[in-house]
Amino acid sequence: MSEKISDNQIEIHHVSKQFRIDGKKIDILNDIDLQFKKGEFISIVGASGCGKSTLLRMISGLETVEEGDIFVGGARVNRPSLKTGMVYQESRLFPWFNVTENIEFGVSKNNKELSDKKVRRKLTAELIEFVGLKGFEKAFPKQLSGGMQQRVSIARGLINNPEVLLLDEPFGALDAITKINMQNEILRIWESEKKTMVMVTHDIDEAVYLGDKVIVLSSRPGSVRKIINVNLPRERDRNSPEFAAVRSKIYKEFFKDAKIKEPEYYI
Amino acid sequence: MKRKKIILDNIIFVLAPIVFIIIWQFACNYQWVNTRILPSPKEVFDALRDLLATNKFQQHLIASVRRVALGFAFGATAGVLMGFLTGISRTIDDFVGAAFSVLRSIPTIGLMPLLILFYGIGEESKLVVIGLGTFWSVLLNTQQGISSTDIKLLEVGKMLEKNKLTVILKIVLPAALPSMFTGMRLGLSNAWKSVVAAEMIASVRGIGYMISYAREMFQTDVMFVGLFTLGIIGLALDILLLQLQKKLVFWG
Ligand SMILES: Nc1ncnc2c1ncn2[C@@H]1O[C@H](COP(=O)(O)OP(=O)(O)OP(=O)(O)O)[C@@H](O)[C@H]1O
Ligand SMILES: [Mg+2]
Repeated sequence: MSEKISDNQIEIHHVSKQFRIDGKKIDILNDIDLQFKKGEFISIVGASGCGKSTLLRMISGLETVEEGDIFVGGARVNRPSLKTGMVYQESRLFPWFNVTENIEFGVSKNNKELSDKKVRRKLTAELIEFVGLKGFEKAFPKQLSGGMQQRVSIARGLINNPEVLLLDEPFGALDAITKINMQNEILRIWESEKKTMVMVTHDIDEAVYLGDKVIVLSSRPGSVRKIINVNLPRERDRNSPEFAAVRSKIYKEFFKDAKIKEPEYYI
Repeated sequence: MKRKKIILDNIIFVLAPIVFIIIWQFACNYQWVNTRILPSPKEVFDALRDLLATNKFQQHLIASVRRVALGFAFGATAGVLMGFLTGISRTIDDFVGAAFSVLRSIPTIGLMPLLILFYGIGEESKLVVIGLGTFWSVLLNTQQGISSTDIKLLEVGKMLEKNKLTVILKIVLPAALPSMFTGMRLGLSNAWKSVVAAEMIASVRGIGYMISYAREMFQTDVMFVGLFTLGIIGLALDILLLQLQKKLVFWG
């Protein structure tokens, strides 16, 4: 049953997930059914704890898929593979490796192309330049700012030339200005590398700014509440009325079941 | 303000022992203390000079340092290896876990009589005592360091399809390194303490022997030379390890 089903880059077929917490089975994800095309930029938003990270981890092969199926590039996912790269909120760099070593550590043992040390060095140097860290090859993570650390982490995620890059709130810990810079940076990378990118974010503005589609998940158990196509040309203007319209549509979906009322100011 | 305070702290740090020695000397000169029991600093220095002149001090010191170095090397190596084996393999941990918990609780010096029966009063018994003193603290701290490895970093290793050996050498080992150093510093301090105890029980050389022999001869000044030597060498070894740690755990 692991044959190619269609030319979608990622297919998620009726995936549900439960975790056993304190002896009780808890539904985390409920019947997720999604298809992402090759080269699409997908944003996923949803309340905290609704299972966004779990969904990404399942796509990456880190978490088992027990109910339903996930296919990446036509093959069923059952373990991590070269085809998928991952970037996390906490950059998860190794403090004892410098920038070059951290990126090179991303080379998978199954990556035959990069088994030659010279080729690996050269690609790493190119990637460092590509993410704008030239001159910091030998710097250690603690000598880098949060944004720079995330650049390293992105470079590491790209080194195996994956078809899919999964991003779990990659800019969640950055300040507003750095965040906007990094959003433009990831767009530049996406446009030049033509990779399928799936990004989880808490930031609705960010979701609309980056995504071709924004997937809104409901609170736990997470299920797909709405898929919103963002048909705005890039580079997108966050202050345009069209942008605002999409954003407010998502806000409404987002807070539908949160029962958040307008603040009441009368005494 | 701040710089002034640092300079002042340093002056106090250097001056305090000098003042202490001067007071001590006065106390002896004016017979405020029983000088039959407490030698004056001058007498201690004289004793040291004599011991140095006859090469005895050097022989005792070298004997002790050699024992500590050997015992520590064996104990620390075994501790790190065992720490990793038990940290990595559940089976091995279960196998030796209970035995280790019991054995660990026996004060190593308490094993000395038994070891003398086994090995005689040669070097082996002392090396085993020193080695064990080091082994336990290195073992425990290595295990603790391994279990404190950030699971998020381990997950990155999994995502990148690293094999077990790479994970151990490139992720777990560096993560456990600070803890391992703590274990080694404790272990070295234990080693230094046990060598003296072992030498007092059964030996004809070493600082511990020098001290206990001086007691029999009622040479309190020599005893003080021995005690100060223990303190200073112990401190120096700790500083040495601390510097090594700063160099190796450069990211900490
Ligand atoms: N390995 C696990 N074992 C048990 N429960 C887990 C595990 N991983 C996640 N969970 C639970 O699954 C739920 C969803 O977690 P997940 O990390 O996917 O949420 P999230 O949507 O990414 O939240 P956030 O936005 O806060 O990052 C949480 O309630 C969490 O407690
Ligand atoms: Mg999450």
